[in-house]
Amino acid sequence: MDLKTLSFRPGREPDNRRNQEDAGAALIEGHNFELVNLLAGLRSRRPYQNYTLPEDFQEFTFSVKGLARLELMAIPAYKKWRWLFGASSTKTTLRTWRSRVLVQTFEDWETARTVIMANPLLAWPGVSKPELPETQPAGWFVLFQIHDLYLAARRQNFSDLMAQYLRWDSQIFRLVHRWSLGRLIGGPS
Amino acid sequence: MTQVVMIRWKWEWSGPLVSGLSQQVAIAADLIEPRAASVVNLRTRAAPGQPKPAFLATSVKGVFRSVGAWLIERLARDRWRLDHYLTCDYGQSLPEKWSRARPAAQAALCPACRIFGGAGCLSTAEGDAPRLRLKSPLAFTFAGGSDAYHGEVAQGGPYRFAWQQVANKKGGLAIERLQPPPDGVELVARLETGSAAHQALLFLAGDLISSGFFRFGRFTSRGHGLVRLTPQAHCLAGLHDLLAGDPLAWTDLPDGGTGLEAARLVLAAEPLELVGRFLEQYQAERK
Repeated sequence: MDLKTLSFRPGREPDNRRNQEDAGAALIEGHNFELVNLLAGLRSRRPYQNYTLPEDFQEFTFSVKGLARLELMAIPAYKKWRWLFGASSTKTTLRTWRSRVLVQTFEDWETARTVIMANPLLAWPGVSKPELPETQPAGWFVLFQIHDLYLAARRQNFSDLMAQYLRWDSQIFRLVHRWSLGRLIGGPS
Repeated sequence: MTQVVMIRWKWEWSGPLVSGLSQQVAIAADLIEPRAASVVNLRTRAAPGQPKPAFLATSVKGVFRSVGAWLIERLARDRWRLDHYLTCDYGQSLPEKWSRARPAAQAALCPACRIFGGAGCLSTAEGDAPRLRLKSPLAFTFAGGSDAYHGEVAQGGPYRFAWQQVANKKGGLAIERLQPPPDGVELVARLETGSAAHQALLFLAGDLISSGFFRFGRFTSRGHGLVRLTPQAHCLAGLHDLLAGDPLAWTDLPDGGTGLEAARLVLAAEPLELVGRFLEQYQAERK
């Protein structure tokens, strides 16, 4: 998939309602209580002819979730799952739900590493420390924090779909590392 | 004798924080013009005086509840591979096939309701809710016993949404952000059950919040609401001590430690195990 321009309109969507219903079903029945981190770097400051990253880092932070959503909307395999980035009740949406993807952004690799390794959950039994690369090219980084879901319509977890998008199909992001909370131990057996 | 437990955390901003005030209310209060692309922070009265930008302790409790319910569900699945929900936090959309435990009595309320309070929202019959409602034994305050953190605000933005950037449109959204005070903020939980499992859940919830997966206020999926909670001190007091008004005997916790470490120290047990036992007991009572 190599698009030259990024569209901000969804285009004709005859299956829009059905797509939202699939997303809604995943939210209700597919909740698997997994917390998955996907850390991404940027491929380019100008990934599309009509889109250049904001100069202001705070504006980038505010808009990056929507940016990923727009790119997912442009790729047929991902289009319907953009609804997992949240929905508000309008005439085109069925109902409201919150985003299952939260973002944190970092201005450089050192900050990203420091913040990620300071996560107190890494001290929990059964939780492995992420094996982050020592170095990365200069640039901003985005941590996608996913409240994971099983997508019955795809027989795949949402985090796997997002990892696939970041690794292979995004012109904006490149996947750096993926890790999850793991199995919580310490309860009675 | 009733034991009251208090836990104190250092509350550090890890990103911008803005507390909710709807556009309609902001317009009605003359804080913004109609159709203005701006978000103002909630204001409450910091008596005696004018309304001041605030973050409410009740909002804190709501996030702790979400985290607590998440942890309960996750532990239940990890330990027993349950494919249905234990708590009623997911109740509004709960499929019938999972609703195995609709409570008929207050004692049967879900594990989250027992700690955070409940309204019997999974009850079988309409009108059951008032009878089943359980007052939470847990309350949060900011240091000094205030039910809100009152602070100054700074203007952020205007930030353009991604679609506005792609469409090369001007505009954007201006957002008022609460400013952290120079000396930081302390959050205090007061738990009236004294239960070790409930304390463990609160300590662990603090770590989950610090991970960034659970956030406060608005725009949480846009990098807002990230807070780092570091346990500072723990206190166990009898009702008599509290009523006497004498200074409470706080025990300081190791500097910069996690909630898990603090819970191990205070409770002399593995906190996940304590929560697991609490859930086992709940499961046993349901059978």
